[in-house]
Parts: sequence; structure tokens; C-alpha cells
Amino acid sequence: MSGNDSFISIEALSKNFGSIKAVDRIDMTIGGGEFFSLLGPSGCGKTTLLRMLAGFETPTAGEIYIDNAPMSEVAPHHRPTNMVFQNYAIFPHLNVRRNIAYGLRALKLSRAEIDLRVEEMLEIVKLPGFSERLSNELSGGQRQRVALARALIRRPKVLLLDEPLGALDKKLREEMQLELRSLQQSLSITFIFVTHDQEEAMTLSDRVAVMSAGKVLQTDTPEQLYEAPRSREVGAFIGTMNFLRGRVAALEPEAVMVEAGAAGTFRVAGAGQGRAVGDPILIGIRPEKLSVSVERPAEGANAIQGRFSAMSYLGDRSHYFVEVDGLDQRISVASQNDLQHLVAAGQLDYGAKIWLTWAPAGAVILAD
Amino acid sequence: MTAPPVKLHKSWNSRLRALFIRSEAVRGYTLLSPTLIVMAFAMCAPFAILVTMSFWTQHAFEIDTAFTLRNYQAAIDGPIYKALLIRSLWISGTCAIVTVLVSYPMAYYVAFHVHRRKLVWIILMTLPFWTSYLLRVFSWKVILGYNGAINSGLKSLGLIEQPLEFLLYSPTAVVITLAHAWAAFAILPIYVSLEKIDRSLLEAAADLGDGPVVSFLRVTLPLSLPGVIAASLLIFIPTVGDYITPTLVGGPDGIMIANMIQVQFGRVNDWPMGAALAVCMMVVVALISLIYIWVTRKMTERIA
Amino acid sequence: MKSATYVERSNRPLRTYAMLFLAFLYVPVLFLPLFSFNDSLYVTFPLKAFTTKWYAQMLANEPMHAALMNSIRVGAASALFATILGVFGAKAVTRYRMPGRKPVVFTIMLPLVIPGIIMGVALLILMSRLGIPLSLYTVTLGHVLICVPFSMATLIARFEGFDKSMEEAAADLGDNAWWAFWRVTFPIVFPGILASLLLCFTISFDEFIMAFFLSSTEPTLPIYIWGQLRFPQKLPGVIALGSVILVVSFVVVFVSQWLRGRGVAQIPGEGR
Repeated sequence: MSGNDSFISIEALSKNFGSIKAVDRIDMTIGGGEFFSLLGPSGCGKTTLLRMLAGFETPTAGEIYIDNAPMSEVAPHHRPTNMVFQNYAIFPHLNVRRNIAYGLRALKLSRAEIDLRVEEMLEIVKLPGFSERLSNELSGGQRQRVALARALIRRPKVLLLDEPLGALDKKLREEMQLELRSLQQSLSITFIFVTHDQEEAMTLSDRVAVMSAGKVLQTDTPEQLYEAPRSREVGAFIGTMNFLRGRVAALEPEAVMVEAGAAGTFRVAGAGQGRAVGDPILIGIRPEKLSVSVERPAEGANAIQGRFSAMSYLGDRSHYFVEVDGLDQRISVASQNDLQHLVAAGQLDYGAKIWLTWAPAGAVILAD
Repeated sequence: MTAPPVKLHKSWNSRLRALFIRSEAVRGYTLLSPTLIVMAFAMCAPFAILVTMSFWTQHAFEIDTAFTLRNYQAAIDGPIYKALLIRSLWISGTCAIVTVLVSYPMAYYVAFHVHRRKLVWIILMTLPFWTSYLLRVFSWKVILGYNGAINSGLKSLGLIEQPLEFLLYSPTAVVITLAHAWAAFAILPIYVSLEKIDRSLLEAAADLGDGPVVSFLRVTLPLSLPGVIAASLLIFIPTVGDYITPTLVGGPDGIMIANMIQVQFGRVNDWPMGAALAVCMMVVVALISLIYIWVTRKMTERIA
Repeated sequence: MKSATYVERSNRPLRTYAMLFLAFLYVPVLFLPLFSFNDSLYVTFPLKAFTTKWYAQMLANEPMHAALMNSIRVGAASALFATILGVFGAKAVTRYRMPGRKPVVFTIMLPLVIPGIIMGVALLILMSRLGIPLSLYTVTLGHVLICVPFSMATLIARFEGFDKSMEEAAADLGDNAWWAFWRVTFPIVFPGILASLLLCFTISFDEFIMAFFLSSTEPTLPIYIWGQLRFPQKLPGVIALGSVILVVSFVVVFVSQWLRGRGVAQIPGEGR
């Protein structure tokens, strides 16, 4: 299966609830064996999209193909997908064994075969010996494992996960993330994972689709999303980003000169993407791409002067906040405690002038 | 080109299926249809024929199906019908008010002051309602009777010489019995509306300087008003049409309009007249209820 | 209780009132069992000797047995039909987003607020115009009509607590609607269905007005009792019978309400 780049193909898919466009003409392809995340704030349409894949919501328009088969006429119980529900939906009247074996009814297996498969699944999700428990006798993490086993025992082509880790505490969540990832790699099933937690999406996924207001803003690898967000929205949603607004001052083959008012003029690596001199342009810089110093940097480097306004110490690194004239937002800088010793020694006060510098490749041009 | 008929049929079929899968409303109504059809038919057909019959006339054992307003003329002209209807409304209205007043504190107690075994309290409050109406009314006859439990009890204690005659066979007896019989219909809606009140609203009222009584009047009571209105209607409407209670404990002064309707279908055997009286009663009750709802809604809007 | 908040602090006068209220609800009804053991034809104080002869008489009463059997038959049939209709209705209105849900529910609930005598005479006229002879079947029809609202109310409460994702999970795991209903929905809502059956049975069993208008020569138990009330010498027998009915109804209703309020039941067979 792996290597099939359009194992799942979504074409012009829309879903309206009354006048609300929950999903608005989405196109998307997902490869076989991929760990694919749908990331976005609540209400962005990611859960609706997942539920359309499972067959619980019928699209207003568009089509979903799984393994080249159109899905719109296929009822949920005939789809090659299985789902891990947000609240797990463990059947309260059945014990763990019967919950896990639930989906095997249609396969008409022998009793021994069913027991064997259930034991195997319990082994995989690390719940041996739990088969006779009822759902109200399980912890949150254990329910999550049962939900996973129950879905996987059907050997689906696609596993859909609807914020499955949302109800767990932080430590357990991190543990489950690792397990999910290794499980997915060993089974090589396509996982489609819905979450609003960007860190979780980045940790787990091969690729992430960032969604907002029913549309996909950008689909990329976690690295690309972080390093090269295409829009302000993506840049702000994934991690922290500083934004500078300006005009194109000059175009070079491999870089753009940006003039950002009082802040100065900077060189940004990348093509102008059709912009002409004088056009407005937005650039973004990650906090850790900036360095701070009290000395004036060398001539020709990208540099801004500002006032040191706040700091938060995070242990392995510190965040510094710098006010710059002509910018309505403070610039945020993450660095490995560069100024810490100066502040501690009383040589750097709030309000003092400091310099920010960055390499031309450290900033990205955004499509507003 | 002519499409093969089989294919046409199939496409229709799949279009219907697509409609069925797509529309929640269609699926919902399909599932609901058995219940809705049975209930709608079982309600509409009898009422249609009831209204129709009220325009017919009874001649001895024959029914004349010629349209006439004679029954309604008789219902309006006959002083007995009007008096009975007014008395029924008066008894039911009193009963509704008394029951709501008596039940409110009880519902309040369970909603706010019972913390453990709430379910048991709710069941205890409503349990008698589900048991035989006839037997409950009958037990009041046993209690209030001329030689009943109260009179004979008081007499054997030497407190009275002669039995108290006002106990049984009076409108008061009817009101007491009905209030007892319908208490659950008052408690439940009031309880539900009280239970729904967010406790932090009352804490906010206390925080803003209201004492218990004032915060009850300014917060709790207005918020529970929908329950009170529902309760009073749920008692008023059915009790107007009761005839068991008046027959068993009402005496001549406690007879209500429903007794008259029942007699038309029984001894007197004038079904069209009975139908006309039933229609009159329904119309009057519906009008009063609508006015009541309208007035209370206006009043709550003014308060709010 | 110590843990109660300011708003929910205990209130002694109100508590006393609640106790008195419960007494008002139950004491009148308790007079029936009390006098049922009294060795006197007259229902008066002071009580005479203790006796169980009224119960013995009751057991030997053939017409009463027939009436009892009629009531059980009508009650069982009404409960079954009303609950089936209630399941369809409650499932539909809780499961699907439907336009016009409110008026539809209102229509189905209408028998709750229509005076019994109106429903009774209206059905009586319909039966006579259609030429359908009065029988226990017509009584059952009337009882189904008044039971459906109660069944719906009971089941809607139960179905609303039912998590929609349970059914989706069943569909996701390969069950069509039919199997999903029997393997998931039914076991989970079973206590509600049982509660509805018991409640409808009790309502039908105790119902008088509809039965009064719609029955013919075969009386149900309340009709039989009504007939006996005219004869003073039959009174102790009626009181004994009434006591038995009250006790049985109390138990049945208590169980049904308990089931309705409680959580998921264990279905034997599926559980282990």
C-alpha cells in the first residue's frame, strides 16, 4: 500500500449545516500508510471532514475516493475505515473482550479464532488480562486502548482518530503518542488523526493539513509547516512567529529586499513570487531565528534596534520581548539565555537599547 | 436514443436511496411515521365524528343526520348546563390553584434541600399518581363519609356528637380529592423548572445583598414560573372533565359538567346532545387556557 | 448535611412541611388496607376484630377473577403496543434533526391534556358509527392512545441520555442499522423500555374512564369495582381487592421508575 500517493482522494468536498459552511470545497490526497493529521482550532471543520470519511455525515457536494472507490453511496458499515471516537464510545453493556470482538460478527469466525484475535489485539494495545472488565472499570488511558483495539481488529485500510488523546493528562498523552506512532509504523495502516494540539500533530504526523473556517490553509510535512508557512495564519497557529509588514524595495535573483518603514530594510531569501517593486509584502521570522546582542552588528546584516521590554526564563532557554518603533507588536526572541548573565549582573535593564539580527534565510515571505 | 427501462428504474431507485441517506429529516419522519400516523388518526377521526355528531339530533332510538344547531341552542339556553359548566370551571380552577400552592414548597424542598436519594423522593412524590384513580377517590369517600373514618373517629374520641355533614358531598370535598389525586401533575413540572435553575444565580443574588426571601421572590420564583404555568394547566384541563370524583364525593352540589355529558351517553341516551356539550366544554377550556397562557406570558415579559 | 452549600443548606420548617405533604399523599390511601382487615360490614371507627375473611371471599369470587384476567390481557396488550409506538417516536425525535419536531411531539402528547371523558365519548361515537362492536379490543385501543404519551416521555428521557456515538461506533464496526439496534441501542435503552412497559401496564390496569365508555359485557377490574360500589354489603370485598391492587401497583411503579432513573442494566447473555 505504501507508496500509493493518492490512496485517499478528496475532491471538492463541501458540507453545509444550514447556512454554515463547515467544510468548504476541500481537495486533498492522502497516501497509503501515511500518518496524516487534520489540525485546526475547534469549529474549523476537521471533525466534520473526518466524519464524512467515516460516513456519518453526508457531503453536500464533492466526493471521497478510498482506494479508487467512490464512497458517497457506501454506508458507514461497509466502508474500509474504522474510527476511534473522541469519547471512545466503549459500549457500556459489554466487557472489554466483547467490545473488541464487536466488529468481527460479520466475518463469521469461529469462537476460537475470535478469542485468538482478541488476545492478539489485547497484547498489541498492552491490555492483557483486562478482557472481562466493563467500561466503567477502566481508566481513561485504558478505554482509549480498548477503542483502538476495537477499531484495529477489523484490519481497516484507514484508521480515523477523532482527538483520541484529548481526554488524557499530559504525561499519559505523550506516552500514547509514541505508542500510536510505533503502532502505525508496524501496521502500516493509513492513520487520519484529528487534533487541535499543534505539538501533537507535529510529533506524530508524516504530513499535516492545517484547517481554518472549513478550508485547508496548507498541507505539508511538520518541518515545512514550521520552516516555510505559506500564510500568516499558519505561521501564527504553528508555534510563534513575528511579522513584519513592508514594501518590496528591490528584487534580486535569490532574495527580496524589504523596506519595513522605521524598522529598516532587510534582505529575505526567496523569490519575489510575482511581486513588483513597491508592492506590499509580509514577512515572518521565528523567535529562535533571531539573535540578540547589545553591540551594533556589522554593516549590511539584517538588524533592528529596539528596547528590551520583558523576559521570561524557561530553564533551557529564555524568551525576550523587544519593542520596536513603528511595530504594533513586540518582537519575541527565543535564545539560549544569551542575555541572562547580563540581566542577572544588573548590566541590562528593561528599556535598554538592544539589537536583533537574523540571516536572510531565517525569514519567510508570507501570502498575507 | 431510448434508455433501457431497467436502467431508468435503477437510477430512480438510487436517487430515492440517496435522498433517504442524505436527509436526516426524511429518515426521522420515516421512523416516526408509525407512531405519528396512529396517533394522528386516533385523535383526528374521533374528534371529527364528535364534532359532526354534535350537529345531529336524536329521535328516540334513531339518529337524524340533518345539520342543526339545536343542541348548541339547548346548551346555551338551558340554565342547568351553563351552571354546571361554570361550577366545573370554578372547582377545577380552585383545585389547580390549591394544588400548585400546596405542591410548590414540596417541589422546592426536593429540588434544593434533598441531596441524597433524590430519585427515591421523586418516586415517592409521584407514586400514588400511578395507582388506581378510582381507588384513590374511593378512599376519600371512605374517609370523608357520613359514617366515614373522620366522623366515626372523632365521634369515638368523643369530640363530636353528630357527624360533620359538610365533609362529604360538597364542592370542598371534590376540591380536596382532586388536589390529592393530581398533586403529582403539579409537583413534577415545578420540580423540573426549579432543578434547572443554576445554583450560582442564587449565590449571585445572595452576594449582591438579597436575603433568602427577597432572592426567592426576585430570582427563584420568576425562573420557576414556566413550571407553575404548566402545572396549573395540566391540572385545570383534565379535572374539568372529571366525573368520577363528583359522582363519588360530590353529592348534588358537587356535580360537574362531565356528569351531565356522561348521562347523555348513558341513561338519557341523547348522544348528539352529549357531543355538543363535550364540544362546548372543550372550546371553553381551550379558550380559557389560551387566555391564561397569553396573560401569563405578557406578565412575565413585563417582569423581565 | 455538612457539605451542603449556602443555597442548599437545610431548612427545618420546609422539611417538616415535606413530611406532612407525604403523609397527606399516603395516609388516605392507607385507610383501604387498614379497613380491609376489619371484621365489620361498615367502614367506621372504632375498628372491630382482625379478620382475613374479606380476602378469602375475594379469592372465591369468580366474576372478579374474570375481570382481573380481562384487565391483565388489556394491560399487557396496551403496554406492548404503546411501547412499540413509543420506541419509534422517541427514537426518531431524539436521533434525527427534524424540522417541525415540536408540533409533532405536541400532537403525540396531546392525550395528556385532553379530559378523559372527551376521548372516551369521541372514541365511543367513532366505534358506533363504524359499526365496530365494543369489546376488550376497543378498550385496548383507547388505552394505547393514552399510554403512548407516557411511553414517549419515559423513552425520550432514556434515549436523550443515549450517546449517539455508540450507534456510530456500531456502524463503524460493520453493523447495519438493524444489527446496531439489537446489539447496542436496545441493550442500553432496555431499562427505559422495561420502565415504559410497566408504566403503561399500570396505567391501563387502573384506567377507568375509557374502559367505562368502550367496554361492553366483559368488564375490566376498575369497571367491576365501580359496579360493586353500589352495594354496601360488597364494600369490604372491594376494599380488600383495592388494597391488593394498590400494593401491587405501588411495587410495579416503584420498580419501573427506579429502572427509568438508574444507569445501564446488565443484559444476561451479552454480559459475560
